[in-house]
Amino acid sequence: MRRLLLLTVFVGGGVVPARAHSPVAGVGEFYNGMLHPLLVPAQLVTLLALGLVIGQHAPKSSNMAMPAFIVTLVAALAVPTPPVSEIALLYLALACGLVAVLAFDTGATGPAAFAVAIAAIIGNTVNADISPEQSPWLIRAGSALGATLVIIFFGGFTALLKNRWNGIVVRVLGSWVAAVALMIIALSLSPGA
Amino acid sequence: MNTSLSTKFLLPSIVFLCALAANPAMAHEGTGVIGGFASGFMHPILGWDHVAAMVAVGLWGAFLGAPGIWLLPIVFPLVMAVGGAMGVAGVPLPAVETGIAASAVVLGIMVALGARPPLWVAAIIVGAFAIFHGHAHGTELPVAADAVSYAVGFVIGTGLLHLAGIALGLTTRWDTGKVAVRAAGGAIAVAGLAFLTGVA
Repeated sequence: MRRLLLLTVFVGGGVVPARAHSPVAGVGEFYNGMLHPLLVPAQLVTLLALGLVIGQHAPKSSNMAMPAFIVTLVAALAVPTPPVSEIALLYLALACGLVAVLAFDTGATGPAAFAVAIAAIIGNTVNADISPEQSPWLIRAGSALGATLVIIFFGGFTALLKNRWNGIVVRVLGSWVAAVALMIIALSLSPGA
Repeated sequence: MNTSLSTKFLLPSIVFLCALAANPAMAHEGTGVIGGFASGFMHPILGWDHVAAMVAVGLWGAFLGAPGIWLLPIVFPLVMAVGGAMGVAGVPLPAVETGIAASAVVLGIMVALGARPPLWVAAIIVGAFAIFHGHAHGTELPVAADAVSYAVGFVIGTGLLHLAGIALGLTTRWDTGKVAVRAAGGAIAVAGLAFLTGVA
């Protein structure tokens, strides 16, 4: 599992200029930060993928992953690092999606490892999107809260669904996430991307 | 008819003003995240050939019963993404439109016959056709306003069409439902034939 994570981050995580996302006018910087994971499709898709993995075998899969996600996210937001491509997130979304499709039980450490990697990249990309005229700490605080709420929602929603219809819904959502991630990865690798 | 001068000119004036006010038609290429999602979501829904094949996948899954009912809708998007990746990468795939139309014919026939082959055979048939559907979506992905939201939109659109097919297919628990679903399969096959021959 650790090798898979290292490989995905290595393949997808080349240091490239991050793509900026326009802030929503008139809602304030804290709320803009909160909305960030919802308004950036790559982050939302990846958080859904992580939520599926965290919730599919909960509570075993969530006990370590949830705190790991929050601690890593706060640390990544507090310590800006060179911007990483959002495509790295989609490699992780693809891996999480396939784990959900196959209903792999990766124990407690597998989801936690995914959570750490995804939180680190989300924190990195949020920092890269902060423009000089904005108050960085309000945006960082908002993003930390927003991403945490989203992952709690997706993880909890998955935990509720995991025993319904033999877990079919979770597997179908995993296949959708994996399909989206695969397409965007292909687009990023295509000539002229 | 006794109409005053003002009434006589009223209707032409309104028509003329409406014509002046009319905006040129816009292509359905959306902008931004919402536009990308909307255009991706509508892409499979606005194509009759896509709709027929997607619904047929759901109907056939219902005929196959568990685990086929959920396996096919999982196999389809995953293999479709591979076809989409080929389209994005510019890998040529011959006769894409023919493949899409043929998918409606073959899947429609499977539903009409109530065919229950081994699950792996059904998965291979569905997967083979998913390549064509994915390629068609994938070739439009590079020009989409927001590629990620476009991809999310068309995967969800495709999935909901499968769900519609499964919902209809669940009526096979009743005898009348079986007849209706088989008839729907026949209609899909005929529609596919019309796409294939260029009639529709």
